[in-house]
Amino acid sequence: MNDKQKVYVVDDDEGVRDGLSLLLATVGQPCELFESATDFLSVYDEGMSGCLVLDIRMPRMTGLDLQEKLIAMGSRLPIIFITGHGDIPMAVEAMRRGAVDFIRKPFREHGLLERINEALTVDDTVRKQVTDRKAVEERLAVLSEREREVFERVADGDMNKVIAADLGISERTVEVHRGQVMKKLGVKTLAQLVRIKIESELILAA
Amino acid sequence: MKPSQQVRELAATVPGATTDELLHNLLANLAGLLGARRAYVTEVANGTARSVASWEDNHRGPVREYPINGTPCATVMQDGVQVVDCELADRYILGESSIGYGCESFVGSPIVDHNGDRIGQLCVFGARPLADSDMAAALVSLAAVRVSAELEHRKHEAALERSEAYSRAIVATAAEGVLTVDSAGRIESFNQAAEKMFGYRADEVIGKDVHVLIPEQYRNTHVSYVDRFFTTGEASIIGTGREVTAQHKDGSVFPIHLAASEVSLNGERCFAGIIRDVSAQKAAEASLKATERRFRAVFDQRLQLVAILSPAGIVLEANQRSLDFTGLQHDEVVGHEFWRTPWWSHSPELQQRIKEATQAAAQGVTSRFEVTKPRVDAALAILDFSVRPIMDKAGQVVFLLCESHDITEHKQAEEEARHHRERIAHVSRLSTLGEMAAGIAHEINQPLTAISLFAQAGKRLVEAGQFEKMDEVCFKLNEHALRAAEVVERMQSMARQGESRKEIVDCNELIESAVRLAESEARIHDIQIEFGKGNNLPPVSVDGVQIQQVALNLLRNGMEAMIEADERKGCPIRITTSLNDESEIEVTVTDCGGGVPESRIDKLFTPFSTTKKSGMGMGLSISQAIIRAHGGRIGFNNNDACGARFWFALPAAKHGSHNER
Repeated sequence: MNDKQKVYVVDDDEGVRDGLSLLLATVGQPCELFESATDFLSVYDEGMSGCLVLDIRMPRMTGLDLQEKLIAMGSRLPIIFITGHGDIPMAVEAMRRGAVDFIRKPFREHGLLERINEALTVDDTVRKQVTDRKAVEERLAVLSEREREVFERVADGDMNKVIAADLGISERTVEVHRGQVMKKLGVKTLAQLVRIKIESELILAA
Repeated sequence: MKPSQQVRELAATVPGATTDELLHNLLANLAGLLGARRAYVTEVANGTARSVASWEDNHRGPVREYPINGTPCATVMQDGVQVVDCELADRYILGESSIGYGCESFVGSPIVDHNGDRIGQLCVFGARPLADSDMAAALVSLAAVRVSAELEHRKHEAALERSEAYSRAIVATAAEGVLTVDSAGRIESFNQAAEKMFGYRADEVIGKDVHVLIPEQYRNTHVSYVDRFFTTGEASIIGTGREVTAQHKDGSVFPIHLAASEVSLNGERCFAGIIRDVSAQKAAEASLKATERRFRAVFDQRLQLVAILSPAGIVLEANQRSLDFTGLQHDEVVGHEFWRTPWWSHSPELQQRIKEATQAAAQGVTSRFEVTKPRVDAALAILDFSVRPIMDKAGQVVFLLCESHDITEHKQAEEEARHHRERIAHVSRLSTLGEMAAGIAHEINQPLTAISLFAQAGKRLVEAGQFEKMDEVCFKLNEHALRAAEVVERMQSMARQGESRKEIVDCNELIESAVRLAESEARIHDIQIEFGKGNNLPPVSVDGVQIQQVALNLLRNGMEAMIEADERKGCPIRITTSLNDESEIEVTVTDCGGGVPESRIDKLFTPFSTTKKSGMGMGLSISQAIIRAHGGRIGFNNNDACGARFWFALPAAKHGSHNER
């Protein structure tokens, strides 16, 4: 969790909004309230961190509609859906699309705050991963295409001779590329090179 | 001239051939004897004298007519003979137009009729003072007596003349046959009507025995009557009359009414008979009796209870059914004031109402209303009662006709139908509520969620010792609890079962409440409901729940049509209230769904006809039953643009009507 995280509440019912904001205030959690999905969309930007508490039923643009739009925009903001009686099929659909959770009205205290915390943690993690991935991607981006290929094969433990045969280049050329890779990635040993490969695979796979 | 001579001369007045001549001769003589300028015989009536004869300046004068007030003539009428021997103008103020103007003396004497009443006077005005006033008075009095006698005589004669002419005319032209029979039984006279009746000419029967007019089998009876009359003086027919049988010349017999009287003429007795042919009357009587019997049969056997009253409200006749209905005798009602009869004695209010209606009918106003009336078993029946005036050709109310018929069973059936309708309406409301459960649950869940959130926040604030916000928290808790209660209340009132109760209510309030209920469902389907409230609507007298049910039905139907047509995004359903051209309160629901397909229109209000997947297809048929039971109308039309427009109209509450079933 970080200090910039906020809970964004989108619900057409004023009572629910007021109640949520007061409850969050008692645990020192900053929040922002929105009356409709369109209101939220109008202020949304990629840099928002925290989580979205979203009423599934709202006039004009429903919670599901908003979720769809956010996914299309590449948002990774975790969403907790607020559902009422009989909204389970909609909630299932929301989960299938990647919602963190759904909670049914009226809310149990721990349930609600716990789930908000979980969502915030997810947001935090996702954000960290994104940062790591960006770093890895930036690091690997300095390699040329051929150097990248050589890096992958060396880190996998392939012999220079095999790599040269597979890529249709001379063994000498492989050696030159390998020296360039180690220099560009700032590593001195093969073990360090292998570690970078494993880390990047883990992050990119997340 | 000596007095004795004067008297003789006056007495010698030649009686004229006519009264007129006699009077003028008399006046001329008097005027001459007294040296008078003017003399009159007047008849006085109502303070006005009118001359019958007048003599002025030695000639016949014109007819004079003058008011006697203020003249010496008035004194004569009041006190009798009056003499003013000189200076008439000093004693009476006589104007220029007055009859005695410019005269010096006056002598007047009243003329009396056979009762001694003063009917006029004989008066003489002289140009000079009277030489001998006593003599003048005597002469005038004498002449007045003569005039009185003459006038009386003339009156009798005129009366006699009139009466003779009358009797001649009567006998000749009488519709009755008149014949006279002498003591020997021979016909002496036979008038025109008798000729016509019997077919004989007068000359054929005069002198013949009266028996020619009597059928053979009755002749002996007649003889015995006549004999008995002569021997005992006892008459069964003289002076009275009876119906007997007569014989025509052609031998046929016919009924006559015969009135006979005995006349003694020069010591000899004879009989006059006045005969009326009563065959037509008999036939009419027989036909009238038959008609009456028929009428009576119809009157008594009618299913309706009928009574005929005089305009004053006295019962003249009541049919058998009306008596049997309550188990009354004829004389318990006939002859009594209608409203005091035992029919109404169970309710003083009803008596008063019947009395007022009866009096109104006598003024030409028909009334009709429901009454109760005891049956033979003392149970009260409900009747449709009316009282109306029957008028003659002149528009005069001649009697009042009261009719009532038993509608107890009809009322019971009506009551059962009402119960039935109410039960179905209730079941339908429950089913509607069931269908709306999701929406209603959502509607209740919202405030409950808020309450739960505020309660949790409150708890944390208390734990943290931050009490300053608790006031607001509690306020919010209460606010949202009430919000939830409102939803429950609306639902509860729809679920209510019980007697239909009509109340005077504002239609906008009813519709508002139905709209709120429908909104719970509208929100789920993301449909907006627009409510266009009409201004200054008169109140309606309705069962509020039922009218809400109708409005809710129409709103839900419209919404479903919109969902089906997938036309809801941004397009509202509209409900409006207004006062239409017929002064009814009209509620209209306009949707933008697919409209009603042509093929469905006929069956729209038919029970169990539905296109929906859920529901019984009862909504519109119940709505129709409810609106009709409220005396209103319901209908629909497809919109030009899109969707359908359903409406219902209710009559405005009558001024002064209140909580009635």
